[in-house]
Amino acid sequence: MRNQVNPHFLFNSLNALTNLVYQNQDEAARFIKQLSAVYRYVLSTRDKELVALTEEIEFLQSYLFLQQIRFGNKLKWKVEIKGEGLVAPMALQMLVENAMKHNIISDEQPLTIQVYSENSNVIVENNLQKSPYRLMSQPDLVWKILKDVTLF
Amino acid sequence: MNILVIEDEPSAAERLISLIRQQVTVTVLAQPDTIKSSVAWLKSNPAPDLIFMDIQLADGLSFQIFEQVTVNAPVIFTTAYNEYALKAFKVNSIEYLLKPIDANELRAAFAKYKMLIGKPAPDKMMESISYAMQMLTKRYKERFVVKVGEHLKSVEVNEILFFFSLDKTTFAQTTDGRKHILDFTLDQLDGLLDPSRYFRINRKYIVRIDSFKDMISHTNSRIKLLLKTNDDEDVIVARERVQEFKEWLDR
Repeated sequence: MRNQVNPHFLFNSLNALTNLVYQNQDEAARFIKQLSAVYRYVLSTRDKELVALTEEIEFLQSYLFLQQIRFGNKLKWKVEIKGEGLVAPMALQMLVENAMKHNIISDEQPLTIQVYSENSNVIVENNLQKSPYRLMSQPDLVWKILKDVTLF
Repeated sequence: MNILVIEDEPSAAERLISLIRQQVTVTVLAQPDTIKSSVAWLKSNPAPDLIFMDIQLADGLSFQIFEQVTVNAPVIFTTAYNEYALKAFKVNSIEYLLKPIDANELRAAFAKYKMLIGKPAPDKMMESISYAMQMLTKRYKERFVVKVGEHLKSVEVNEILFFFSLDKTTFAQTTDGRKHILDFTLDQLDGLLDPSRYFRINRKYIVRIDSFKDMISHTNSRIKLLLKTNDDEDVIVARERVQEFKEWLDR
């Protein structure tokens, strides 16, 4: 997300917003606010190596709020962090995004994501229900990332 | 009109239904949100008059529904993005709607539906679905470039029996027993290979479906594989992968 600000995320969010504006204007306004909070964070942390954990958590909550609107009761989440610390920007969000990408999120099998602190660690935990479907996920983008990573 | 709405985002389903209701009087029979629940519903209920089907669902592409159950109803696909699928539908003139759904496009889709009803062309539809399916699933890696001495060589994926990792290096072993070093980790390969043919059995191995000559029950409810062209090492399907491995074989 950091380097590529995942275009699908914006796209999905706008799609969800289109539905929301007809159904619940107040919620739609909240949605827009959280969406802008997400992008503000992405921009403001672009050149930072580390950010305060509290900021990352706030961002994570915005991100989860947006996903919650898309998936409703199929997505359950709880963020409970005690203490302070520093973290690479979007590190926690990336883990959450991965959990959502690789697991089934459905009525029958809701996905539960928990973010909590234990001793001096932050733990991101989800129930494992792997999606058999490898998001025929924008193979071009995957390639690009792989190339970046492996200096192919 | 009785309709079935297959969609994995609740608000998108709600919006679609409200748009439909502005144009046509419908009864929504059910709103399954996965392939599994859609197949279950279609198997146990009479066919609806029309099905709205989102293409990307949590457990796969909705085209897979057609592989598991006979669908005796016309389908209007909805999709947020996939130009390949869209192209396929255009060519074969199956109706599709791009999300966010536009009221006028929906109206045109209903008009088309009314025109087509009574003129069943299921063969044509299956044909275009399998075409779309091909377009969507074809994109796995087909060959790797490897070094042989000073030379570079292209190795077809078809020639590779299995991939393994040894001392942080990834190797591909071909049908002739040769080992080639690859610039990918097994984790990366896992996403690049056709999952119907390749399976990650443990941290060290990705095997092709026809790469083993025998499977033997092993301690701790694991399975030991005897790989072709490889006799020296014990290759064991990790315990937590065994169930998935069996399902993969049994497909």
